[in-house]
Order: sequence, then C-alpha cells, then structure tokens
Amino acid sequence: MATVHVNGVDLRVNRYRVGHDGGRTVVVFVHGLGIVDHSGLAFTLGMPLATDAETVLYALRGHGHSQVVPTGYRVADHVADLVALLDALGIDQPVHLVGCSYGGAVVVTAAARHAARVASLFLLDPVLPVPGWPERVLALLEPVAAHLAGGYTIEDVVAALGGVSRRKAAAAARRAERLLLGTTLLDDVRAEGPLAAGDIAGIDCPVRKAAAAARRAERLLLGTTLLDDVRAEGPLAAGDIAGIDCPVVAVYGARSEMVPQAEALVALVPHAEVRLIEGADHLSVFGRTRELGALIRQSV
Amino acid sequence: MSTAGSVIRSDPLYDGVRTTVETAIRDVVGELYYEECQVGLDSTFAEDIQLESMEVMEIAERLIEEYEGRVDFVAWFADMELDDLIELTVGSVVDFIVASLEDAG
Repeated sequence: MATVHVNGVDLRVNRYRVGHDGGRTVVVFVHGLGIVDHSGLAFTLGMPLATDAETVLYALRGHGHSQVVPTGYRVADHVADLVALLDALGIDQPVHLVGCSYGGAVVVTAAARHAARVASLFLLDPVLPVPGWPERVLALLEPVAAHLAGGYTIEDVVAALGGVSRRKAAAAARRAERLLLGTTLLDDVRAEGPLAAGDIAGIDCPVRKAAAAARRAERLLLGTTLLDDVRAEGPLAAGDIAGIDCPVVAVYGARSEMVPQAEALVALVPHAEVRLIEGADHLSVFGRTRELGALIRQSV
Repeated sequence: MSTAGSVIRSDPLYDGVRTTVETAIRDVVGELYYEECQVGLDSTFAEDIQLESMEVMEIAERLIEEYEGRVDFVAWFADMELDDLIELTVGSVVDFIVASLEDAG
C-alpha cells in the first residue's frame, strides 16, 4: 500500500499483479460513496484479477485512509484525482475502469472527458451521471446527515444488527457493557448518527464497527462539503455520454433500484452491454464475486 | 480454513510468526479489544474479531512488509473465494506464512 499525493490530496493506493509482469492490461477500480473504501473490492476482485492484469485500487478522497479534505467532492474532483493518480503511477496506456455504485458516475465522466485514458468501462450497479442522479444520492445521504446532526444513540445502531453467533454476541455484550456503562463513549458518539437503513443492513457488525462506520459517516457528511457538492451537481451532457465509444459493460443486481438507469445508459450508449445478476440487490451484488470476476475477465 | 482440531506447532519459527501476526492484529484493533475478543488461532477475522475490510487490509499490509519477498500474500488471497475470506482464521494465516518461509528455505 502506498500513499500518493495527487491533485492536492493524499490517496491510499494498492497495486497488485500475480505471476506476470503486468503487461499492458491495467484495471482500475473506483468504489462507492460513504463509509466504504477500496479494501473490500481489493480482496474480492482486485487480488483475484491480479493473476490476469495489473489491478489498481484506491480510496476516494474523504474515504478509508485517504485524506479527508474539507472541500472538493464533485464528480469532476474525483475524475481529476483519478487522472492525476494514473499520471503519478506512470500509467499512460488506456486503462479498464471498474466503477462501483457512485464510482460509476466517476468512471463514465472520466471516459467522456478523458477518452484517450480509458480502454473500457465496467459498471457495477452504477450511479450514472444522468438527470436525477444527485437527487438519488442525496435521498440516501441527507437523512443520514440529519441523524448525525440531530443526535442518536449507539443502541439505535446496535438494534439494527442481528443474527450474530453466541461467541460474537457474548463478546459484543461484554464490549457493550464496558463501553456503554463504563466509559463516556455513549456521550462521545451521541453526535454520530445511525446510517441509512440500507447501509446498516449491509454492515452486520456489533458496536465497534457500527461506531466506526458512524464516525466515518459523520466526518465525511458533516465535516466536508460533500453534500453541498452533490447538491450542486448536474447530469453529464447527453452528448458527452453518447460520445463514449469504448466498450461498456454494466452489471446490475436484478433487484437493485439502479436498474431503471440502465435504459438511459443504453439509449445514450447503444453498444453498452447490460447484464443482470438474478437475486441480487444494490448491496448484495457486490458479494457475487465469482460471477463478477468472470464478467470483468471477459470484459477486459 | 479453521485450525481447530489440528496439532498446534511450537517451535521458534512457528512461535515467531504467530507473535508477529498477533502483534499486527493487536496494533490494528487495540489491546483492549484484542483481549476482549480472546483472539486465538481459531478466531476468524470476519466473524470472531469483527474486523472491517480496511482493518484486514491494514494487517495484511503490515505482514506483507514484514515478510517482503518471502511470502506471497496477494497470490494466496487471489485464490480465495468469498467464503474462504469470511472463514479466514488467525491460525491459517500463521500456517501460510510458516509454510512459505519453509519453502523459501
């Protein structure tokens, strides 16, 4: 892992290749917005694909161990980070971009603005920069920010978690007792609100992880201009999207709320190939790693 | 991936690797939480220690740095399915490192 300073921000970056010299095939992953970073993708897709290509994963500004800068959370900022990162890493050949969720808006915009840098797009349950996308993202983030600003109890977070093992439950109970009754943690984190219901459902963790996630969400949503930046966003011009001529594959969970955007994508980019993964929604589709890995291999 | 039921080695190489792995985990999660989890060789990173992926990444990076050039963690992870990752135990990491070091001579 390395920290690379580009475009005025420190980004945490991982590059992988296994059993080959990397050749000319480079796959760069762009993760989603919120409490996630690139590490989950690194284990489930980045490292497995490294047997066939060089894979590059990094934490978007404000996410994971990348720098939390106070401002600059427009898609254009993330695109500028991405291009500057490729420059800093000495990657001058066109790369295959994998955009996950909000990362889809970043890589589509990158392809539209920097066509010479992009060999193909693989969109994984993407948010696309089409009309209405900021509202779609804000509908998820603004309630979280309201909770964070308005106060909450850690019990709210814990109540959303279930199905734990006896050992985990016992460990969680011990931790909860010590933390909640024996320390000032409750007062300290009361300002760290519950996450969006969808985000909590995807976490499956006891107090410690939930509190950490809440801290990260608070840091990003209340400590930066991210929300204002998203509010100020508009769609990418239809002509710009239509001008994308590299191969495009978009994979959606068949039950994802993102699926309706696929029509807009195909209308603008007729050569885009849309695949559905049955039984998966926006969160669970990222766990279908075997299918996704095979599809990305086919794509690149 | 569990080492439960297997014979636990105790020799300088194994003990040294085990200490290194346990120290990496301890450094990332903190002493208090480490003790509360009663981390052992059969503890899984995902379920028992409840690590987030970015914490597992941090531990892996520390071990990659420690055993640079002698242990190919990325190739090992690359060969894992999601279930293998979820069931990954402290003992399996220790075993993999020890086997790699022994293979490397």
